[in-house]
Amino acid sequence: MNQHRARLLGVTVTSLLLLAACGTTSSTTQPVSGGTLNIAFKDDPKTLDPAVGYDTTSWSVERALYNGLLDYKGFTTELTPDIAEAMPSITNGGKTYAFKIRKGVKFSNGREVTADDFKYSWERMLNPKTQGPMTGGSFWGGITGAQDFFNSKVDHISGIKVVDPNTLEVDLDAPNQSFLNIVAMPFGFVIPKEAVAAAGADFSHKPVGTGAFTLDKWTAGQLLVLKKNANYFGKAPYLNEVDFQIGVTAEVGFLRLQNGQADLVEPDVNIPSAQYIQLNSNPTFKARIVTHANVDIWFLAMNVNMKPFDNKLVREAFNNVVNKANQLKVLNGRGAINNGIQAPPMPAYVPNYNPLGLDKNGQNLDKAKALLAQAGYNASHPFPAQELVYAHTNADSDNLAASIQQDFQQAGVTINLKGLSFPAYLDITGKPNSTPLSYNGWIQDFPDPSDFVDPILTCGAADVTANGANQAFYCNKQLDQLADQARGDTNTSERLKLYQQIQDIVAKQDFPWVPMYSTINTGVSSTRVHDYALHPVWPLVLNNIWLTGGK
Amino acid sequence: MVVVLFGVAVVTFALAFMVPGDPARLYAGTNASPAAVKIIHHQLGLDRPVYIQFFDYIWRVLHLDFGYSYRYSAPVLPAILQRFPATAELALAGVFFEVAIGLPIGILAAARPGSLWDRITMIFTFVTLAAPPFWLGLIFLFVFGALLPLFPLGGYGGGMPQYLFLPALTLGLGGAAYYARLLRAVLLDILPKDYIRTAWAKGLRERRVILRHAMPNALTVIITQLGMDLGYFLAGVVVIESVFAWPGIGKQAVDAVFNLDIPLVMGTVLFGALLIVSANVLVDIAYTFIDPRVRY
Repeated sequence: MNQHRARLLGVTVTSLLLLAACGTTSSTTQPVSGGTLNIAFKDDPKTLDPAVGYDTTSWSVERALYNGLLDYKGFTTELTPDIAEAMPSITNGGKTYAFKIRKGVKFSNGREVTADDFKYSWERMLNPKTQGPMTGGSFWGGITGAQDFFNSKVDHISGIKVVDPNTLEVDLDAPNQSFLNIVAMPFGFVIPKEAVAAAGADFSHKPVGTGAFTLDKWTAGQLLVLKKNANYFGKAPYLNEVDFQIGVTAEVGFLRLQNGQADLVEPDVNIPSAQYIQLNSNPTFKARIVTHANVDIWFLAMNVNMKPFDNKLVREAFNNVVNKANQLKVLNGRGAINNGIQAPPMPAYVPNYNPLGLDKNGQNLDKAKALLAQAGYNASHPFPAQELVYAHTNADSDNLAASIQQDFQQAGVTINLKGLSFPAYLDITGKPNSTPLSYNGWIQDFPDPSDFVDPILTCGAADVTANGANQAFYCNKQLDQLADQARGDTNTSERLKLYQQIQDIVAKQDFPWVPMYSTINTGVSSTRVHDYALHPVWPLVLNNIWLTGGK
Repeated sequence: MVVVLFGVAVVTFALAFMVPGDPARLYAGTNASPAAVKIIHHQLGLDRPVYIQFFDYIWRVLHLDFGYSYRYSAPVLPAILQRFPATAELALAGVFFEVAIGLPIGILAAARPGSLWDRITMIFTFVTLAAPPFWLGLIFLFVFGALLPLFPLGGYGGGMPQYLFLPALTLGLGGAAYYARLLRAVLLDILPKDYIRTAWAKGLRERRVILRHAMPNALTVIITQLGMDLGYFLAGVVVIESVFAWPGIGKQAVDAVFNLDIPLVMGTVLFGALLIVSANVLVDIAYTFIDPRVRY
């Protein structure tokens, strides 16, 4: 080849390569519509009825099928209108909310949504006959007339009013600054009355909503298929279809991911440790791991009504023993030490909160031993062996508990481990005078500080006649007063100060818990998936995801 | 049969209620308020006396109403019947592999006792009997589904054969090893008998002696075991179904146990008991055809 031709060939090849590179870059940065996303799930959703579903698998699918008045902006915890035209007007000292419903929002059956639909949906959700978890009180119990409705004294809730077809007004018994977060929960999603009537008792398998997707097919144990909703009022999703492959264990799911047969694997839970290590050592998938701080707190609960934890000195001593850094090592570093009660993404979270002056591992063994001695425990009167009750929720549970056992051994305390199935764990820790020491976690219902106080640290949550979530059975009237005050305080900065005072009472004064850490959620996607990200509230958001080439 | 099924119902009911945990709490969700749990407890009828719950259940079962699944809020019997065909497919295919692999190995081992072939087959049976099915299943998936993608990575695939092969093979291998050893032992007991010597003396070929003269007497033992296996497999092979994402009643039952879904647990156990009892009856009937001396 002569010099001229060689030079020409070189220029041509270089030009072609540059053109190809430009084409590749532009095709991977511009979202493309089309294609089917394959998601591997271990179990079927329990239900697709938003009045009933209260688990991450159900919420993963419900989020795609339904909408409510409010949603969260992008991937933040900031509330934004969804079916509502705008954020509600709040009057009557924070007790009355008026929502304007935007016109033109349709259910997938073609009918337009009205305020009546919201009144129907919320009353159905709160009706004891629906057997949903919000009946009887909980977050929605503050609506005027709700208690009479729960007790079947009335047929409707007086505090939910339809002013006109596009205006819904809600009255509360007392101001509640987390009410809008409550409205944004899946329990607040709107459904059409006629679809429920047509489906009879089977609405959970025949959902009709306003979401970006509709249910096309659900074969239990095998496959659940969503298809793009042509009537969707919002920005259309890029995906045409989402296939949930049901019954796939984590081991097989991640094999499918690596073989291209699945795009996401159980996105509603953290990547199991064994698979995380494997993916992290694979350059292709390491670059595709996404993370987000979870809104959760993991802690040991000490039953303040049972010996030896009725002694505050003992509880304080236990707060100085746990090596929290070791707990995070078990989780492959996917977490952060948390010595308080609020989770990192929450506004009431205090960065670097360390009221007891613990070391970088979250320990102070010398102080722990001194406190136990002060409590009267010594060589002649040794600290009695304790049983740590924990739930076998995942592969890390046993290792986390064993790490706790080792920490206490260093402090001269014998801990015996009792791992139980989750139902047995819930049963035994919910009974008063049953479990002195337990390993617990609390994951948000919604990103408001009240959710990390009211259900788990108040006197009401320690009701000994009920199977509550206050496993320490801790009751402090001062804390309750502060919680009541904070719930309705309209001044944001004052409200946060109140929650920080509550945190100090728990972590610096009364010690019903040993707060340990908050986790970091991780997820991974196949190489053809773009714009997959973890949401601080929703287990799965499909609207932004697109596939290479739209296939 | 009726007495057996009633006994199973009593034992299952008793065990289900002895397991710690409140189904209403699980049904409502871990973050549900105590008030909601109380209401749901009442709605599910869990606050009724245990003996009333039991008799109510038996009365409904007699009318083919197995109740409602707490977790899925759907009738139990249709949920079981919807998944049963997948389990039946896997069970029959598993039995096929047990027979297709186990019998020839057992026959050859018995025909050549002490030989290299006998030793190789016995090592094979030791290994496959010792290997846990979930481990074997994961190895097969990794090798034949991921490394050499000859088969799909689990799933049902609408019942297509390529999806059935690996789970059926995994299920059948353990049984094949057992049948090989069982048949070998039975044939070694039969082959020295006088009527076999007579057959040899008549100049019959080895294949005819073993298959025509020795095997019919060995089959009664094999068929008894096959009947038990089929019944057991039809009741749900939990581990294989879980590993291969096979949508059968076994996996459904295990999930029901962990979710304290008592109606679904009881329904599956009763259904499984019915299948096992029926399989035993069929085996007893089959005896009359195999051994003319057996009459009822």
